[in-house]
Amino acid sequence: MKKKTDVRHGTLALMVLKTLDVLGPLHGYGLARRIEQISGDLLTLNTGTLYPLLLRLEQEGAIASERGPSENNRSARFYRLTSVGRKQLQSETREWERTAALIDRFFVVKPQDLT
Amino acid sequence: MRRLRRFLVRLTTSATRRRDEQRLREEIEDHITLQADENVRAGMPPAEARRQAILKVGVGEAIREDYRDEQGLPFLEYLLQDARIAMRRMRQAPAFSAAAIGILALGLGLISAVLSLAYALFLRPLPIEDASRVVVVDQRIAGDARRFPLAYPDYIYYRDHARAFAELAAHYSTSPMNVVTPDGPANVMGSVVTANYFSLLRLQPALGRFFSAEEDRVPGRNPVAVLSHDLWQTRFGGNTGILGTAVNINGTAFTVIGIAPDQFHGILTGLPPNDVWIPTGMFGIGYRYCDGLARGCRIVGLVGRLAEKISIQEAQSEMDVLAGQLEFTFPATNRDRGVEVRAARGVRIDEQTQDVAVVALLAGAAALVLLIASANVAGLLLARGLRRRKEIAIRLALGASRGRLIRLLLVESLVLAMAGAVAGVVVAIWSTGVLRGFFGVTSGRALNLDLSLDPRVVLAGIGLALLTGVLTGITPALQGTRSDAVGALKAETAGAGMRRSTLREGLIVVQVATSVVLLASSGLLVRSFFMLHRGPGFDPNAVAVVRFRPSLVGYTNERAWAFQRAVIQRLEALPGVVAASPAVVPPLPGWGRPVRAILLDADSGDPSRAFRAATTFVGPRYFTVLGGGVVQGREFDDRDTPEGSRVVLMNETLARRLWPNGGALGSFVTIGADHCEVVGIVRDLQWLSALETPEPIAYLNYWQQDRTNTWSQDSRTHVRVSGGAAAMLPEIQRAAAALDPDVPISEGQSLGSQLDVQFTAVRAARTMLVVFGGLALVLSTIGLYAALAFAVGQRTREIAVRMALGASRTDVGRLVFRRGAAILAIGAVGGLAACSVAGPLLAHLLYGVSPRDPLGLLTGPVVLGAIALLAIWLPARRAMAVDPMTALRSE
Repeated sequence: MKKKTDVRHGTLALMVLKTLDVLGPLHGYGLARRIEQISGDLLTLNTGTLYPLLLRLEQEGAIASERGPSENNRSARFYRLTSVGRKQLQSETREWERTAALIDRFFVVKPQDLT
Repeated sequence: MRRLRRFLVRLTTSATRRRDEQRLREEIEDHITLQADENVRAGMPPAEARRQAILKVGVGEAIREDYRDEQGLPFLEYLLQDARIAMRRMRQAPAFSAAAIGILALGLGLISAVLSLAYALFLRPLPIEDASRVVVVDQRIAGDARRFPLAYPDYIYYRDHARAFAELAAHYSTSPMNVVTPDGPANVMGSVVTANYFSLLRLQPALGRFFSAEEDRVPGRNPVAVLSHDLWQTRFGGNTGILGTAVNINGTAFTVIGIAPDQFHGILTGLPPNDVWIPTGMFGIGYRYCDGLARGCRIVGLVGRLAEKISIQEAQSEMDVLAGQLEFTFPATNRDRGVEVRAARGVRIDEQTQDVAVVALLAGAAALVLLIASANVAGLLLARGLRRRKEIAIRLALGASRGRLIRLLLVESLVLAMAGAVAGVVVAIWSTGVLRGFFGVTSGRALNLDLSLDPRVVLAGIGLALLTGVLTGITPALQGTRSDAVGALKAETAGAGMRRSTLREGLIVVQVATSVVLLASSGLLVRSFFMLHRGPGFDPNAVAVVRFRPSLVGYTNERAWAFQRAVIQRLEALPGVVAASPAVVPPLPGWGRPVRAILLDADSGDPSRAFRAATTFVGPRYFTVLGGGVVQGREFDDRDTPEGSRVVLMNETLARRLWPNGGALGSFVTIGADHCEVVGIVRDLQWLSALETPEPIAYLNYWQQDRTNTWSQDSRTHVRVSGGAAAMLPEIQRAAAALDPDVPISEGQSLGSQLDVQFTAVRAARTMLVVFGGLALVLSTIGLYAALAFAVGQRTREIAVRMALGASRTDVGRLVFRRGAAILAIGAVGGLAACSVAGPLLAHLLYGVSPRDPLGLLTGPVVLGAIALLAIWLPARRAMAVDPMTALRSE
């Protein structure tokens, strides 16, 4: 069995924003499943983390929500990315890429490279 | 931006308490339903699908809490919630809360009172409009730390040339004025002021008008006066018809033109209040010893209002330049004389320097009491924390975070501290009243000193309370929440409390040590106070001193001296009076005794060999009045007439200094123009602090003074009364008034009460330190008792086991007693060691007592020890009374 990890602190918001950007409006459950799915089921999402985060993002104006029918005709709250959220996603993506690139350099470095 | 937006949303949610509980419930419900749908699709039966979905979602309450935290501002809300819990807890344990609040109130109240005294003495601005722009200007002499008054012509120069001031006024505010009122003469303090004095202070008259610009121009032309509201009300019945009428002041008729606003008593705080103001044109009436308007007569103080946008430093630099010009123009009078500009705050700066030491001492003592109080409350909280271990463990087990619990416990101690601060205000008001009795009054008269609690002082007290709350709460909170939940739930008492009780006992050691310092210091001051009153060998309460000042009403020398002689005769004829003698100043420290050159006959060819010593004038039988003190020879008597040969008495220190090998008696010395015979040697009559050595003094004959100056008209006549002097005072004053009702009589009091005024600092320090020390004693004894009693309670099982295993009751009692005695001993030794540091700090207040005086140092600590042993014995007895069977069974 593959070992499941918790979400690294601070990265869940980016995952939520990116998922909404790629897949369009989603309800909370769908969002959780998608994120787990994209991670190749390496991640397991805690409900107690997800919903407070969604509320926070909405308070910050990055996402908006409204109720609507789900795929099997149940009513659910759907979240969508706002323009503010899109801008936030862009800047956080750049930030992440920069950090990742930086960390990469440390992983590839060999002793002889520095002499 | 994002943060701000979120904060605002959360703030409104918090404020409106509008909770989107519904939304979360929906979300979770939706989530579960969708999950269950999927489980069904995966092949589960519907009931099992839903159960699995719920399991996966987790504990609803925890999610709800996280969610709520995101919605509102949890910190603020939890703080309020904690405060509510703390209040409830306070009500649940009224005895504990009352004890803690009471202890904190004492500590905080006392320190607020000392702060308010410090504020009044050093910081309070004048009670006038825009007081922050008002400054005072004093004369400074190069190489001298003191401040002096200025000469009036210098004032005129500064007034006309300085641009830093919108206005600059001169005043002489310690002018004794004898005002004839409908119900007899009133001796009040008056002020001679320039015409712009009132306008500078931006005051409006309560009645009539203030001085016009013309009224201080021509000397002697405008005898007009302004009276204080208080004097007008109490002595003139508040009669509005007083305006325009004539009132006799110091023998001259003045026209009353106005009444000053209510509560205004001049600008010299910390001195007797001003009740009369006359213009500088009438300086001769307010000051007679030199011409108040002449350059050589330096008696005026300057008060100024800074011009707009001018700082004190800028005013100072300008005044420095002007002072330099004056020095250049008038080298004879102004050499080395500069000025100092400073904000008009608190009492006169020279008095401030004396008061600083006392206030620092009181503040230090109050801080120590607060320290003891805090340690005590911290001890109480620690004990309660131990008792609450189970409750705290349950909270931890239920998922409360440690930070959250620490916050709760801290809020509890903060709530206690704030309640203590509120109660402390009452203590502060009471103790400010006590302090007012010392610092606000001289010779039974109220001083012009506002000692009321200032809002800023109250604020400072509240700040201090917050600090105290955190400091007393933090250790118990950290300690209380450290325990692992399981351990605390399982092990009820056992030895688990050892480390905690060490901390608590450490606190008691600090309390005992601090109490020892306070008690030893107060012991020294009490001893010092007794020594003061025993004085250098005579009873000050048997001597009355009354000041007769014929010079104030312009008597001729002959008339004045005839009066002084007649008064002595009349007083000595009164029953109960042993003897009466005129003198210039009372035999107390701090009074002016001019230093003069004393030249031995052997050195008469070489004036440079003269010895400079303090001199003063006393009359015949002066030492009889004081109750003895002549060591050799005789004192002055009626043989020593004004025309007779000149005589002098010397104190032992001076005689020893001039004639190290003896032979002073009968020798001759030259003092000024007089060639005097030494007719007697008297004891050193001085009140000496632990730091001083006796001062050499020469006593000259009152009747042989230089008759050309007006000083010699006045006297402070000393009267020895068998029985209390204070009771005789009215009769003495009546007898003098019967002789000549016009001569101003002032300062009538016993030497003892004069001594009290003079040693206000010692008295205040003694009283407050005795109060502080007593409090410390009570608090630390209670702390010791409570700690031991609690430890016995905690260790009941251990004690029972010991007994079951064969320990005798005595062994058990000894165990507890030894522990308590060890705490006491460590604290006492630490305290006594600290005294060796505190002692020298007190030395300037110790009279006739060494800082190492064993009686003063040890009395308090010994009493503390005795009471503390009792506090140890009680819990030890309780430990001995433990019944092992009952104790073990109850577990």
